[in-house]
Amino acid sequence: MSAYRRLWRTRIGRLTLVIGAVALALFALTGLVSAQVALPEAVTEQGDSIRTLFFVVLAIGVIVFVIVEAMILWVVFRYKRQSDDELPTQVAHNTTAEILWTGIPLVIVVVLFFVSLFVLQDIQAAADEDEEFTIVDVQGRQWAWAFNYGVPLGTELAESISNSPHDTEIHLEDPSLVVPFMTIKLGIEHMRVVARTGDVVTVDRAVNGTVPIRHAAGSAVMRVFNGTDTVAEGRLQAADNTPIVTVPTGQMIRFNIASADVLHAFYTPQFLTKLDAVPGRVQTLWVRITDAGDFISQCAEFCGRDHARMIYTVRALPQDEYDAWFEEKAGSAPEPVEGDFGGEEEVEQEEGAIGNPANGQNLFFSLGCNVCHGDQGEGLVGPTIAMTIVPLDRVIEQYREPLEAMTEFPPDQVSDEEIADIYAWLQSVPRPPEADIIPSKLAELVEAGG
Amino acid sequence: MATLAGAQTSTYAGATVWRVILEWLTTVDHKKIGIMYLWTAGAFGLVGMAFSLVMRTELAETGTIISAETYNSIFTMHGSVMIFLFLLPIGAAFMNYSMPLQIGALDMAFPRINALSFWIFLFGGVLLTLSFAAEGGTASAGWTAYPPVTLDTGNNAEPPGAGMDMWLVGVILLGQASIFGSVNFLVTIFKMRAPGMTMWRLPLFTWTTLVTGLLILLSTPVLAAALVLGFIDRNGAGGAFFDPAAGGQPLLWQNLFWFYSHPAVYIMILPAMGIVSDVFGVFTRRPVFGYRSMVLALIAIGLLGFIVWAHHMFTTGGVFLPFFMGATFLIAVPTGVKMFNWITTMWRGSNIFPTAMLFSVGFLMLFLIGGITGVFHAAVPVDFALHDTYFVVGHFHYTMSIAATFGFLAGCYYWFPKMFGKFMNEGLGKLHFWLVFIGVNLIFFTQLLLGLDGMPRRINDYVDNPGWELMNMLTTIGAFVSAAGMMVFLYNVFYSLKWGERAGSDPWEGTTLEWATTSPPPAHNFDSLPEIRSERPLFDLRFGERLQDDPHYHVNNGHNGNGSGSGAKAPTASAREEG
Repeated sequence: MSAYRRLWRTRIGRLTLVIGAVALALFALTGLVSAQVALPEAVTEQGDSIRTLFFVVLAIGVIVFVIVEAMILWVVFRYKRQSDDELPTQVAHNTTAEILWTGIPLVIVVVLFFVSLFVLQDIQAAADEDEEFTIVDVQGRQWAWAFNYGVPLGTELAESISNSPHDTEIHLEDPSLVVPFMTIKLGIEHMRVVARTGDVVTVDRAVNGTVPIRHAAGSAVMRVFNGTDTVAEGRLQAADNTPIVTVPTGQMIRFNIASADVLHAFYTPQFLTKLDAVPGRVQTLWVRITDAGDFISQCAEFCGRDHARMIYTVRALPQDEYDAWFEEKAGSAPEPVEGDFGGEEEVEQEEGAIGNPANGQNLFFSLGCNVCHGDQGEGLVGPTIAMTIVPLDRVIEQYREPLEAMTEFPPDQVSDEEIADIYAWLQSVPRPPEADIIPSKLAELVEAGG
Repeated sequence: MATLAGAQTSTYAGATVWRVILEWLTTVDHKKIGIMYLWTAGAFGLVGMAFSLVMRTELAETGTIISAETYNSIFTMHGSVMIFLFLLPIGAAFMNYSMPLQIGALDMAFPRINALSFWIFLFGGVLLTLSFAAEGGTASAGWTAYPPVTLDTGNNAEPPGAGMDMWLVGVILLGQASIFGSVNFLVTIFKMRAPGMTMWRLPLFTWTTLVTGLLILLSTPVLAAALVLGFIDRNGAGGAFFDPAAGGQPLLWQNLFWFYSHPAVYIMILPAMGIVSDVFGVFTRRPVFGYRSMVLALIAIGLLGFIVWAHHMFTTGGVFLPFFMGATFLIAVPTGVKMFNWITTMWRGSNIFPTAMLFSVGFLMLFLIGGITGVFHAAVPVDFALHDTYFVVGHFHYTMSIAATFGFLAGCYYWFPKMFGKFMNEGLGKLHFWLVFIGVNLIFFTQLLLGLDGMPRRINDYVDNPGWELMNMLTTIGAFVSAAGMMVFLYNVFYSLKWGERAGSDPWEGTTLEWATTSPPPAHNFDSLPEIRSERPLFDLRFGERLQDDPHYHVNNGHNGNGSGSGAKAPTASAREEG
């Protein structure tokens, strides 16, 4: 104590002590808050195992911390130089002590290793062979999430559901500004997320005030473009339209996680786990949700500008509510999936429900479509057809009885399925950043309700 | 006459200034190069700290002040500057300055390469920071720069511009500077030790320099390969290495990058461990406990450091988890050994606590928290929950950032009298210590809690979960408190350079050879050397006689300290050169 009394006598010493007192108060506050801020309660079976393991590690960690910290404080406060010529013991080693403090930590970490390994195997287990489970395809993209349901591997479902794109309004900075109507290049499938935040938007006719649009997700900036200038810019709010993935409780759920562009990570804090979405791979995450509820989640791997806006909600519903919800969305009850598809196998990336884009790309070039429409369908002599708003059936009609100056393609040259493949590819190609939109009469007709 | 004399003086003074500048620009003296590293790295450290204050201001409350693009650039450059331009070179600063003195050498083995290494480092650092001026701004993909977000793949919505290339080239240059430096350190330690300075008598700081040098030499070329591939990918190959759409593999980058960057963590922390080992030895008047087990632990950490890189990638789904989990757990053992040895050095010691010692004790406390939180990440299932959250931010700052910085600050206070012949002010030093110690704990302990609650890292704004705003505000307060502490330190440096109390050649009653010469040392380092019979030649000289009957007191060649060195002079530096 006398050291501190001495310290109090100097100005700097007093400052030091005051700062110390304030710091203690702040730490006390931190402690109070930490009761609120801690590892979330797990809502999955797997998360429960992880949480238990966490507390095992925490217990060991706290014990080690208290013992070692006490040792440090003890030697610091107990052993002080008493006189200038004092010479302490020169003991330089002690084999027994050194073996002990190598051996005891070794035993601790070996035990922790096996416990962790056991938990790891437990949480990575797939559904049992004869167990029903739900498959959800997850695709991360800058900066949104797309979710597909009930698509067993290798099966094509007439309709998939996604909550990802949302109808929303863009609030223009200047309401008096006359802004032409915007056509956003969206796919016909309502689950497809085609327009990206920041995308250039073509402008056709004038309206005032707010403009209804569909957008990817998040609260990123959306620019309105009339061909030459940015005429408006708006910030889309995240809160109202985070994508929601609805899943049943009780059943095993297999999330097939993929990415359309860069790295993302599927992270729901209440699951106590995460898995990266790596472009070029499809990865499997198995969970069994035990508690119903809405769980706010977000991308956990840095993915560019609006990484912080890549928020989504996992909505877990009891099985009967889930079935009702699914039936309402899809028009039929979910097909139960059975059997083990094997968590380890590499899976072809799901590209929506229709068509095979890889085949489509080959056909696009072998049929010579690129000669008029450009290598990415961005438009050259012919109109822009990448990410078109024209529905597939109208596109097939166009192949058979072309509007405007296009070559006719009879069914023996290119089948309906092959057109669907090309269409699927065209809906997924990125547009070259500098390309202008070449208008298409067909698209205008479709838009006008023809 | 008076006018003439005045004019002459001023011309002369002007010439002197130019001569001094020229001398520093052309110097090959390891001490001057070390001091230049120190100033440069310190300046970059302040820049990195300024970035962190911008980040903390943005995150203090929900809502945004700066754009997401700016925030991403700032956190990228905070990490890049702090790691490549502060923590790595400041280790090099002390290794340059003190290691040749500690082994009784004239200079480094290759003085010109030493200078080259510094100037490449400076050029690379300037290039890295100048990338802010590039079109499209500086790099903004984090200091880890995971592709494909760094590439123009056609799928990437906002591919980075020329700043990313400047970043890649800058880091390649910094790596080259590191490699030159490491070869120099290794050759110097192996070939230039004074007579009697056997490997088992190397001061522990020199041992850490040796292991650090090996780590740099073996790992940095792998980083260089990754960076070159990244550069080619951006400028010609169109993603063939790292973009899956072009046949590349994004996880390849992560493997190469962490194969360097995990050992890099030890490259940053080991020199700091060496400094605190020396400091404990001096201010306790005891031999560092378990010298040989310290060295073995050091080597074990270095070896294990090469087989744990994939523990940064547990959630990528591309890692053989059990192996990397086991190897990572094992690192706890040698670090534990070091921790217990340090504590036991103080046990029954004759301890005094000047600022250098305070920072060393602070190092132990921070490193303890860092080490324990590391075990959470080693347990793979727990890492699944905590990876890429603020828990990992707290963990790695506690270890390689803050603990390492505490070690280096201890080094500043400890070697300042040797470098400049003056003490740093102790009162300001203690104020500095307490402000920073309190500040960093406030920052990083709250970040651990935020991470537990699931706040992801690298976000410029956050969902307003209960408690998050308060915790973030506390973190921000902590950042400003520690910044205030660093301002006190900065003031102390300039104050002490000008008005500091004069220090003699051996102001701390040091144990190692750097204290056997004047402060600052002459260009040739030593006029004469004491006899070297243990890892503490100066301690033997001072207390050997008094301790000759102490059964625990050893010098390594079987002699007791009896009469060691009191009259005997080692061969002078020039004599050794001829020999």
